[in-house]
Amino acid sequence: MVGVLISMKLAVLRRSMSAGRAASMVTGALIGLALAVGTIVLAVRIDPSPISSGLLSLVFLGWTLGWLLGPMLTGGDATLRLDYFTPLPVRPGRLAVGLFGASFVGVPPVMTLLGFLALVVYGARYGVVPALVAVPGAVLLLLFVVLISRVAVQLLGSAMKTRVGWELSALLLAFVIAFGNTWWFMLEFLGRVFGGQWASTVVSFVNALPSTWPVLAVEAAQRSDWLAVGEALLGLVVVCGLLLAVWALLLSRHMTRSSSGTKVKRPIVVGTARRRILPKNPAGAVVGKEMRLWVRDPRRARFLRIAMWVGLLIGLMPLVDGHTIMLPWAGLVTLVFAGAFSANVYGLDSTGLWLTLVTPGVIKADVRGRQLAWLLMVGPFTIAVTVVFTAISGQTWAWPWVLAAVPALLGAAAGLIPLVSLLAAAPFPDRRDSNPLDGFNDESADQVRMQIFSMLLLQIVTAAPAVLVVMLGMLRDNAPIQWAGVALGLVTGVLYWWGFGRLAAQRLHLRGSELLLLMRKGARAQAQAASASSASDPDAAKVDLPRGVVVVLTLLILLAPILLIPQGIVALILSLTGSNVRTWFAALYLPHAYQVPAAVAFILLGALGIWGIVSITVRNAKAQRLRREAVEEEKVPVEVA
Amino acid sequence: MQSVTQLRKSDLPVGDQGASALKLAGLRKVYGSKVAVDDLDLVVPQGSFYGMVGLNGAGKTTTLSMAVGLLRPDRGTSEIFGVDVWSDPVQAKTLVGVLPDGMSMPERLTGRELLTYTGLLRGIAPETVDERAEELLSVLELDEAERTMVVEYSTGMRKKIGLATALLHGPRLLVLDEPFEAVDPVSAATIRTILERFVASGGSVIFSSHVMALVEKLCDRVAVVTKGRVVAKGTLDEVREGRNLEDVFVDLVGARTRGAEGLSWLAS
Repeated sequence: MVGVLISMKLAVLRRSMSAGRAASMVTGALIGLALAVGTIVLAVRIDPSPISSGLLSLVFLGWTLGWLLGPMLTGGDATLRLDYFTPLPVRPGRLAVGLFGASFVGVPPVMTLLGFLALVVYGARYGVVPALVAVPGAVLLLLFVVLISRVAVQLLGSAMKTRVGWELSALLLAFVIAFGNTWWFMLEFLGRVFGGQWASTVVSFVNALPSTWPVLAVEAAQRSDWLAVGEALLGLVVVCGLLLAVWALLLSRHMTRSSSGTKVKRPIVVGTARRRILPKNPAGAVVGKEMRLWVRDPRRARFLRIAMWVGLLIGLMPLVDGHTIMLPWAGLVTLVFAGAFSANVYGLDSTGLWLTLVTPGVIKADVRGRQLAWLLMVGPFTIAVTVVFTAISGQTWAWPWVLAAVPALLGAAAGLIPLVSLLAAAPFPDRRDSNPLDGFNDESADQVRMQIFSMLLLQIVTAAPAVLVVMLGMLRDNAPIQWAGVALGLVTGVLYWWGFGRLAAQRLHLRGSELLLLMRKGARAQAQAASASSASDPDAAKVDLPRGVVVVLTLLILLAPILLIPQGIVALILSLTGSNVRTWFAALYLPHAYQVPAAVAFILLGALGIWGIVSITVRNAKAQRLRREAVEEEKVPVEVA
Repeated sequence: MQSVTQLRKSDLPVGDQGASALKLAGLRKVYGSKVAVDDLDLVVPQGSFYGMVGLNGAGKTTTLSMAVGLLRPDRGTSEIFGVDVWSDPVQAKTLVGVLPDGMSMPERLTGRELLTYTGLLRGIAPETVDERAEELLSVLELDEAERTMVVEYSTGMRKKIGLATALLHGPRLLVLDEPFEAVDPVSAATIRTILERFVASGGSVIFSSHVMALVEKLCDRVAVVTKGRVVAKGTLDEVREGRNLEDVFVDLVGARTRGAEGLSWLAS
C-alpha cells in the first residue's frame, strides 16, 4: 500500500511539474534549507547545558508549529486526495498508514529531517551514546510533526464545515499572518511574561510537549539515566501511535460522509433590498451578482474575512505592550490583503466566463461591475477602520499618510484585481463539496500564490508616489507638501481604477475565448499545447521562461517586499518617530545618525528588486511578442497554400 | 411557454433574413499535434432541427464552441444569419442562444437570480426579464428550486437552467452541446417539447448528441462528425439511406464494436 501510494504521488508530481511549480519548490527548499542549517549551526554553537537544551527545545517547538500552521498558509499538500480512495475496499487504518508513508515524499520532510539532525550534532557534543540516542529521537520527532500536521489539517477541514469552525479557522489563519508581521512589537511583552514569575511554568510546559522529549532523551543519556531515555522515546512512539489512530478515525469519518454536509449553509433571502437599490442595467446586474458571490461563495467570503482579521489584529495586537503605532494602518492592511486574495476573481468563476462571452457587448460592464462590487465590499470597512483607529491612536502625524494611501490603494486594488486575474488567471472551480482549505491545492496553486505575492507588491508600488510625497513633506516638516501627497493619492487612485480597469476590459475583449479555453483545460495543459504548436496560442508561451529565471523572479518577489516594507519603510517611520522598538529592524541597531540612511538604503534595495521583477517581466513579454510575430509571419504562406 | 416562443417574433433581431441560420466554412482548430477540427464545413438552414452526431472526442464541442464565438478558430469562419461571429460578435450573439456542455455558471446564485442578471446584462427591460424568468422557471419545472443555488443543482437541472439562459433573450438559433446528456427522462421530454415548439414556430436548432435514437426522432437533418471532419450530412433520409442511423453511423466512423472477446475472468 505505502509503495503504491508513494509511486502514485511521484507520478502525479512528475506530471504536474511546471516552471512555476518548480520555482515554488526550489524557493521552499531554499527557505527550508536555511532553517535547517540555522538549527544545526545553533546546535554546534551552543555549549551543552540545560539552558542550551531549553533553547533547542524551543527551536523544535518552532518547527512543530511550522508544521501545524504551515499548511494553513500554503494550502498544504493534497497531491493524493482522500476522495480518490473512497471507493476502494481498504480499511481506514491501512489507508492512513499508506498516506502517512506517502507524506514523506516531498521537500518539507527532507528539510525537516535535516534540521532535526541538529539533535544528533547536539548529542555528539555530549558523547557517542547521547548521539546514538539522538538518532531515533530525530526520526521520531519527524514522524511526530508530520502526523500532527496531518491530523490538524483533517480536524480543521471538518471544523470548517460548521459556521463557528469556519469563522475560527479564518481568525486562526489571520492570527498567524498578523503575528508574523507584528511579533517584534510584542517581543518585550512576551519576554516579560515568559521571563518573569511565569518562567518555571513555561519551562515545565515546554518540557511536557512531545517535541521536547527527544532533547530530554539526549540529556538523560548523558546522565546515563536509561529509564528516562526509554520513557522519552517510548512516550514519543505512543504519541505517534495515538496520532495515527486519530487520523485513521478522522479519515474513516470523512470517507463515509464525503459527499454531504460540507459547507456552511446560509439561508438565501429572495429578492433582497440590494436589487432595488442597484440600477437595473448591465453594470448594476454585475454588481448585484458579484456582491452576492462575495457573500455566498465560501472561498470568496473566507478571503475577505481573513483580510479583515489580519488588518484588525495587526492594528490591535501591538497594544498588548502599549504600542499604538500600528493602529492607523489596520484598515490599509485589510485593504492590501483583501486586494491580494481577490486577485483571482476571474479564475474563481472558472468556465462560468462563457456567460459573459455569449452575451453581446457586456465586457466593459463586467469589468467595471466587478471593480465596483469589490469596492463596495471592502471600501467602507477600510475607511471606517482607518478613520476610527487613527483618531483613537493619537498618532496625528499619521493622518496625511493614511489619507494619501487609502484612496490610492483602493483605486489600485480595484483596478489591478480584474487586470491581474485576467493576465494570469488560475482556474479554480467552485466545487460543491470541496474543503475550502483545498483552495490552493489544485494545479493552479502555485500560480495563485504567485498572484497573491505579485498583487501585494503591485499595490505597494502603486501607492508609492502619493506616500513618497507625504514622506518628503514630513522629512521637510512641510505640511502643504504632505497634503499635496493626499491629493496625489486621490488622483492616482482614480487613475488606477480607470486605467487598469480599461486595460482589463481590453484584455477580456481581445482574448476572452483564449481565457475560456484556459479555464477549461487548466493552465498546464494549455502551456503544453502551446509549446507543441506555439501557433495555437502564443499567449501561453510565457511559461517558456527558463527555470533559473523563474527561481530568481520568485526570490525577488518574496524578498523585495521585506526589504522595502518592514526593513525600509517601517524602520524609517520608527526611526523618525523615535520609537524604541528595534527587534528585527536591522537599521535601528545602528547609531541614530545612520538609521535613516540605512532605512533608505533598504528602501532602495527593495525598489531595485522590484525593478528587477518588472524588467524580467517586460523583457519576457517582449520576447513573447517577437516570437508571436515570427510565428504569425510563418503562418501566412501556409494559409495561402 | 406561449410567450417564450412568441417573443422571438416580437423583438426579432436584425440579420440577413435569407441567409442560413448557421454557416461554418473551413473551420480548423489544432491543439498541440492533435487536429481537433479539420477544415469543417456545415450549413444549418433556417427552420431546421439539426443533429450533430459523433464519437467522444470527434470534435463536436470544439466545433460548436467555435461556431458561437467561445473558441477562436485557427482559421475558417462562422456566420449566424449571415453575421460573422468574429467580426461582428455583438450582432451575432444577439441572434443565438448557447448551451455549452460542462461549463460552470455563477454557482452561488439561485436559478432566478441567474436569469435576472443574465437578462439585465443583455439589456432587456427589467419587467420583461421578471416575466420571462418566471415563465421559464415554471415551464422547465425549476420554480420549486427557488431557494437552491446552481451549485446544488443536479445535472438535469443544470442543463435546464442553462437552456433557460439560452432562451431568455428570444434567439433565432439555438446551439446546444449535449443538451440531453445525463438528463432524466422526464426533464429530457420537457426539453424536447420546448425545442420542437421552438422549431415549429420558425426557430432553428443545432445540437450535438451521441444518442442516435433521439436524433432520429427529433431531427430533420443530421451531420456525422468523425476526427474533426463531417463525413456525412443532409436530411435524415439522405444520410440513413433506408437503414437505421446507428448502423450507418458505426459504418461511417469506421468503428468496430468491441466487448465480445476477452474478460473471461469477469463473473466466471
